[in-house]
Amino acid sequence: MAFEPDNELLQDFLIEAGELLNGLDQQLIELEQSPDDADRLNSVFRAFHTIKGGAGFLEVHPLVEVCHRAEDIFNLLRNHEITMNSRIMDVMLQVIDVLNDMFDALRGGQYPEDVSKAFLKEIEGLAHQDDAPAPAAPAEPAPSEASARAEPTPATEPMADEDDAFDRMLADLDAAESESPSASGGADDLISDEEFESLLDELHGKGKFQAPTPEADADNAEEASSAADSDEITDEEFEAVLDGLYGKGKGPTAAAPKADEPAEAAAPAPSPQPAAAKSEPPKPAAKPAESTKPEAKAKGADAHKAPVETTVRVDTERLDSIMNLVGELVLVRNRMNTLKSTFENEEIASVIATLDMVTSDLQGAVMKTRMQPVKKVFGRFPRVVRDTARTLGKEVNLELEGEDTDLDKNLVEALADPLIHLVRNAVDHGIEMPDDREANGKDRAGTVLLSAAQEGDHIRLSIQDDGSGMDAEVLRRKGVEKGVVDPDTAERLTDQECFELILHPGFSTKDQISDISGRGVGMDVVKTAITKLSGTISIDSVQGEGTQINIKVPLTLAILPTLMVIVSGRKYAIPLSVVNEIFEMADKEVNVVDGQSTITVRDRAVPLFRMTDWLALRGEKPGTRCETDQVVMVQHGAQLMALVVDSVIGQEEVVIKPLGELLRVVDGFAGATITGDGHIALILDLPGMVRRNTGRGRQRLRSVA
Amino acid sequence: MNQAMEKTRTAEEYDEELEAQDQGPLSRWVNFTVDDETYALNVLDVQEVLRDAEITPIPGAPDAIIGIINLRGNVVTVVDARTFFGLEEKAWDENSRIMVIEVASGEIVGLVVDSVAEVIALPQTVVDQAMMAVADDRARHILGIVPQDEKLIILVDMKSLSEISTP
Repeated sequence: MAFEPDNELLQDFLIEAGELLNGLDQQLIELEQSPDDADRLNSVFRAFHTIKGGAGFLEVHPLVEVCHRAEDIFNLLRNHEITMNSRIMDVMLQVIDVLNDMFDALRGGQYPEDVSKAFLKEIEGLAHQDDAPAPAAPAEPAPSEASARAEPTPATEPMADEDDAFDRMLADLDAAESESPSASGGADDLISDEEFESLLDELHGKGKFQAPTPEADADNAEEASSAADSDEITDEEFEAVLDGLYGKGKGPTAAAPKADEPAEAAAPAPSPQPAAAKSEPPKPAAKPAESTKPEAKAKGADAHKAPVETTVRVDTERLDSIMNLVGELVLVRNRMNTLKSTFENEEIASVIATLDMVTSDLQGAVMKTRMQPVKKVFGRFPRVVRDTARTLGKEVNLELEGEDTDLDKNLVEALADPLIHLVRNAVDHGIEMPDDREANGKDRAGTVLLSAAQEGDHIRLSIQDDGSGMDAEVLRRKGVEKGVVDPDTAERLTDQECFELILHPGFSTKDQISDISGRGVGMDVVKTAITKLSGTISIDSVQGEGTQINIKVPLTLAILPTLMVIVSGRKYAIPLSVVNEIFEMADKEVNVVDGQSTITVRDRAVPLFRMTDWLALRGEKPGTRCETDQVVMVQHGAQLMALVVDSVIGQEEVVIKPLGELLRVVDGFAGATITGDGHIALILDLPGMVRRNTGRGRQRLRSVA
Repeated sequence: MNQAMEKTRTAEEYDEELEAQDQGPLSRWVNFTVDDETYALNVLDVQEVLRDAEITPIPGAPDAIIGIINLRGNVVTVVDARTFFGLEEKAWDENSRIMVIEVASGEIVGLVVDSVAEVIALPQTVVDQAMMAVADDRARHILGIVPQDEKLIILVDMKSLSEISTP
């Protein structure tokens, strides 16, 4: 196969993986200092895994081969099957160098060279240590595969391609011309001048090609007046030719709208003269000539740019700064609204009302500029599914739903990797082998349904497969075996909580390690990525019927819907995404179980925490129970928690302002925001808050759940 | 909220500067006091001085960090100079000021001081000499000490403020 990756995808990969690669160097060195740092081993392992995944998708096999082997070694390292030594370190640093070379090659548009077998062997050899029993050599694809791989594409090929296209175009034009003898030769040149660009653009994506020859231009000038008449006709005729060639008249040309109808008629057998007669009622010849000529000339002078563009490429940084400014404006608007009542002036009130409205519209409009259809991510999946299914010998159909759902550009990008993991997992773990499916009375081909939909201010993405589903009991057992939960806790987990065990680091039920999944990194990475986007992930599964994974992410990351509460007289914002319900403290009974206050909500014991304790300043006394206290029920992972606050103010959409570097060390705050009255409210980061305030948190929480 | 620039330069000062020009290039320093000591920060490091701002405290923050303020829509961390210099805390009074300065990380930080006096001009040669005299690693924020009008002015560099949260 030839090396023609989607350019944009390749660039994305180079940037993302390039960063990882840069980080790897540093991390390896640090590992040398502290070879037993489990976190670091994990992160190095993941970095290789991620690079491998991306390279696999782009079919850069030499990269995959190296990363795969490096990953194997780190897998053994983190499982303590072998220990870090200087030999491993030396080889790994060599691996980094090799990878860097490959990246350089890719950046230069070259397919990287295959790595020498000896080097690959050397990496594999690291698995065998004198002081440790040699584990089985990692499963590898047959070496012969490598030799049958893509050949490097010469850098000159694109040029040749364009030349070919040019020739082909000319030939096609000639053919079209001969089929419609009525059109004049001069007109042909004129049109090609304009339309070549769009055609080439369609062919090559970018207008690199410096189209018409000087002669063509000269012809233009000469024939300008005489060909004016046929100008209009051939415009449309050209559309017809294009349609004939490329199926659809996509070219965004000036003539396209009016040419649509005749083009359809003309497509099967070009007969431009009558078609044009229909759309262009008889007119003085000079008139159309005037209207079209300047355009053609302007284009010629414009170094033959692509025809009339309706879109502008804008640096996302610029969009971000506009977004920030709008955020400021929203805050000013909010303050104005608060002040409105103090003026008692109708005129001012009405001005403020208008400002309010315009600001809201502006905010919406700016948000829209950042929106992209989720299609951009979904577009990758047919390939992912097909390749994965083929490797595994499975039959899988992928169905896509709601591809046109718009969401924030940052989100679209950030969601790509987690979704690829999930879809691969669905094919690998979810869908059974065709024979097994048949035996169970299912279609031989499994189905993976990927859907996106907007639900209020959230986007719901779901990955659903009709595979074997998950067995809660097996997960429970595995969880205990892997030390993810202790046996007592495991007993008390609900099925849903069992499913969510797979989100823990190092949890994989697949015994066989494959190229695709099964190392227990995927889901952990997914969970982390989704949480970072202030999204949630939930898993539902019915054994024998399939699994559904739901992801909920906010529509945009710039503006956060929050619940404003007061604790110790200060305002705090709790992200609304974690809030389940709010109720009065007064009518609830608090019990203390094992030193932990709990409150019973609908027959369920929920751990209770006083925010006055959590958010106490130095020297402040812990709060006491108060009749007016209110309780905010929040969701922390699968765990419900009841937070006691002084009072609840209400819902407010806030713009997140990051806290300074100095406050990086302070856990529990996602940032700050400036409220309508100009004050600052801190935005709580629930996971951080829990981490900070309940050292033994998780275990204790589980035990009262 | 009352945020005002306190950047005044009197005629006398200007005259002094002109006189001092004989001694070579000048550098300007913002004088401020903390616990009866006079300190000075290079004027280039000081963005503005606030008379008053509502400081929102951060639960769980390091001792020296008093909280955050809203500086025209930006959230700025505020540090107490007294705690940073290892002195007793003192309540905010009418002379207290927040000096808005840039620290090593490029972050903008507010520094609460007892008072801000004036901008003085020092000949670069005097500053250079003072800087050489101090080579104490324990007080890296102290650049040097300059005698001025029968008192000592401690020239400081607050760039190291960015390290307070990484003990």
